[in-house]
Amino acid sequence: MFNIIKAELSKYMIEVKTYYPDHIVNIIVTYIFFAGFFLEFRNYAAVKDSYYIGFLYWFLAANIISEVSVSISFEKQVGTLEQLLLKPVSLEVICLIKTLAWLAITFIKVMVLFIVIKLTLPINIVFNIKIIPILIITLIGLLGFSLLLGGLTLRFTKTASFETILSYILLFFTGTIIDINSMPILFQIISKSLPLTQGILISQSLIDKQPVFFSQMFLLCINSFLYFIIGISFFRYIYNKSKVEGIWNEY
Amino acid sequence: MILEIKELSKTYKTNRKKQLVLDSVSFHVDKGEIFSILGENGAGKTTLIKLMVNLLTPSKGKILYKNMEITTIGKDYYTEIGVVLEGNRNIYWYLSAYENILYFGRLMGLKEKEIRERGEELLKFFGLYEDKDKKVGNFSRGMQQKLSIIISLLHEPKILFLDEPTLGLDVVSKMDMIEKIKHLSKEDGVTVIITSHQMDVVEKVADRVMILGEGEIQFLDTVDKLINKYSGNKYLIRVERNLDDAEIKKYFDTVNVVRRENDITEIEVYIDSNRLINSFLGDMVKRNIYVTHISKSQDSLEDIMYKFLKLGSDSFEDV
Repeated sequence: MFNIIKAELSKYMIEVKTYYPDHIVNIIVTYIFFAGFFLEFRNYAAVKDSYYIGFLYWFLAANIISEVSVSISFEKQVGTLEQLLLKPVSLEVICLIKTLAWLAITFIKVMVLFIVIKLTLPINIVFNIKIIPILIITLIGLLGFSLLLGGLTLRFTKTASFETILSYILLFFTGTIIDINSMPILFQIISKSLPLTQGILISQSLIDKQPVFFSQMFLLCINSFLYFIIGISFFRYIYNKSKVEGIWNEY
Repeated sequence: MILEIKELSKTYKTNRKKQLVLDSVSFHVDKGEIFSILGENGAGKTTLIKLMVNLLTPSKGKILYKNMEITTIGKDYYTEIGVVLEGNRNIYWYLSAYENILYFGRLMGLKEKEIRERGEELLKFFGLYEDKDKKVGNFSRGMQQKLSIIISLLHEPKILFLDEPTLGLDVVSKMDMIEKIKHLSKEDGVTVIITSHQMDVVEKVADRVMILGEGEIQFLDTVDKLINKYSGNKYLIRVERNLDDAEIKKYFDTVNVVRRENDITEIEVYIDSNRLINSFLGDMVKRNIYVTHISKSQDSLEDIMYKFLKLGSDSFEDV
């Protein structure tokens, strides 16, 4: 397992070095996006210190939920997907490790982004160490979600536009920039079942020094666990179906 | 025997239609041999390779590796085999040769020292050591193919599957590849299963050939036996007269080529009976037609495959 992590991390580092302008552009665009929202919402008294945390979650989520499908799509395009299938480790493990390697790189980008934000914007970034386990549990659900999308890419290949829509759904319907309680009931139900929402709500409560209830934690764990199990099962199902139908390299 | 295929069938379902690609195919591959799979495009060669490497699930039948079904061996099967699939995209073009070796070696679970030592040994053997730090995108097709094979050999597999390994290679690279494949089999004891459209390659490397056609095995034996069995005696005859088709057909049923130029007719015929030639020559003498050339030769494997695929194996029986 350590070998695979090393393999993927090294390859991602080479990619980052080779295509570094893309990453700089990504950070700048996110900064502009964040600054725009922040400066706008700042005019409203209701904006709290915890506002930024939703954005942090969304930035991580937007980067990792599509990673499995982006990887599969890329491997299909360059013709190396079958070589990955011919290794003594299952494709979903390789994909999960790819996502974790990508998450590590995204985390470095987040750090850079928040340093720049701290230095240039009048925002008070408060951090609570208790957020870390919440973030980890939330990420497990997101990995499942990522595998679910990856399964779709294994079968249908062109899923990039779909992922962009999902990324914006996560931005607007998880409490990142709009308060969930101000949404219509139906949207509230949908919102609370998304893999990101519970994590954001609990983390915002922690930063704002508000109590976190056991029921919230339970809901977060159940939500993440279900997304992870559904993601892996769906990916396995599509993988086995593809072995029967033989569609590995269709692009 | 290292690999045994028992009554293997594969059907694809496309647009509610069923397409039978392989129909109850059975054969075995011996340890250390070079086994070649031949056939027209769409004959099922690549499907068969993908079934044998467990990338596809059979519709029926079994594939046994050392008497164990490959589906029960699971992912450990991949520590026993090396696979280079058709095309030149088995590797990452934006990485260097050495970075590719490191990446795939780590995915195979090899230790850094093993990857480095084995990688360098193979890079030297395939003549790529000096280019190991160059980006693969800058490599020639032959170099990319060699690197794919190097990567597939890193973990010292018992069986090496090569799908069209010499496709698109120049003559020198092709000959070099042929030598390397023979060396792997004869010196290192690696079993090689190879598909190729290039008959000169198959003729030079294969111990046994299997011809697939219409989802079934049309022939399975050594290259020599294939040539001996299906290579009719080819005669090239040139006469100083314009002979029309009807006249030629009086003597020969299986005329392959007829050229007519300036009152000269050139005929290429496949016959096993000298009686037909004698009868033809006798008549030419009687009619005062000069026979300026007559020669006899044996078919190459390429000629045989052409006739085999064009006419079918049954037509050989009539020759």
